[in-house]
Amino acid sequence: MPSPSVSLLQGTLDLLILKVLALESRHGLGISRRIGQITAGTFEVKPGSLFPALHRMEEAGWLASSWGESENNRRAKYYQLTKAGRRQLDVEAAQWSRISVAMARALDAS
Amino acid sequence: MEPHLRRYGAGARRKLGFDMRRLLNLWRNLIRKDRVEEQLDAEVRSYLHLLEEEKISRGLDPQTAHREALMELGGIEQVKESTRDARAGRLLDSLSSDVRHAWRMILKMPLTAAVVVVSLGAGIGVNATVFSWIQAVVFEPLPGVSGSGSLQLVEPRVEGGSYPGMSWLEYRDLPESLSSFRELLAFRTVPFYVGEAGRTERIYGMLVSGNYFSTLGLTPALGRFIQPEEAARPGGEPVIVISHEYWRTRFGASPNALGQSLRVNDRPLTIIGVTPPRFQGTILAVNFSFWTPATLAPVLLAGRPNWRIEGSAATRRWEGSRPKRPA
Repeated sequence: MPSPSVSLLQGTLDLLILKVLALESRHGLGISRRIGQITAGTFEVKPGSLFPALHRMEEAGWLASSWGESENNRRAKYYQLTKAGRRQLDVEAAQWSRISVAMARALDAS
Repeated sequence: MEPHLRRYGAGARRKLGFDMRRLLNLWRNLIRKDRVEEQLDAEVRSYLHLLEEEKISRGLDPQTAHREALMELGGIEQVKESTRDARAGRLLDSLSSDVRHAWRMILKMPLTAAVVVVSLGAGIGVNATVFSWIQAVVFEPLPGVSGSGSLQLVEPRVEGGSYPGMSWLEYRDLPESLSSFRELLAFRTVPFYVGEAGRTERIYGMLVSGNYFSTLGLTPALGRFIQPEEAARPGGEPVIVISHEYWRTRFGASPNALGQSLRVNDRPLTIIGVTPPRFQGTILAVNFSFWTPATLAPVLLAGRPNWRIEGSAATRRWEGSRPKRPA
């Protein structure tokens, strides 16, 4: 998969994970692939940063995990959003749009 | 009222829930460590297998798929380690492994460790000794006497450099020449033979001037101290003040000690008071048990020619303005 290397901003990964899990629960690789899809390959999340983020967010109470079967009948750990996770998604999404509007405006300014 | 209260409760519950979760995380990560580790290992391995399958389904042979999956993962151990870093209690965990490591190192070279421990111990011991010595000698030379660092010892010195002490009369004359000092108290160390004939023990005491206790600013633990008029008449007032320690060990700290008679140098003396607990006299690092009026010297030291106080005097400088002395 081609990967134009864009380093993830602090907090961006959390928001992307929350967004990806908002619709359905997924396992690690599923989250990683889905992020690649919805950002058109701009962000490729490596396990070295994905797992720490997942565990940290689980400890924060935003995610819950359980073992399940993958499409090919393999055991995999599935993550889903908790209530607190949904609240966090709203907060971070709102914050992100404020930032992106501000940044776009700043860069357009002559 | 009601909605406000409910909101308050909900907020508190949410906060409590958050803190409880942190505690539970900590508990799980530190105490159920093996299980947490097992889960992490299984999770990373399952990720690797899924990656492999993905590659195989895209047409790679199993071996190449395995190799590429490993490369993309970036090392199972590295992923696990950075995940551990994100968890609660990471600091405590690494601290405990540091301690374990240090302990193993100590066990490996016990002799070096022993030398280090002993030399550290000796160093700390010497320091503690020096500082407690400084505390004792510089800041509080006389235990139980507040501001004893400001007391000055007055001692006549002969040309040869020795200190022969002064006579009672010399002491009485001293205030004339030392007008810048507030009070001048006198004391003399004497061995007392205490007890009935045949059962005496030698205990050190002091013959003191009538202003001794008031100048030192002491308050008796029991009874009263020697009054100025009790040390005015030669041979006067057969009274004695005993130390707190003596009172405790010989009289069981009983208030009945007051008024009892103590046979000192074959003379019965009446116990009139007990000094405060830490007070031990006015000579550095020497413990005294008795104080009697200096004017008892001719009686207590009878048989010695020319009774003299043969002791030392101590005084304190006036603070602020001093009262005018009649010219």
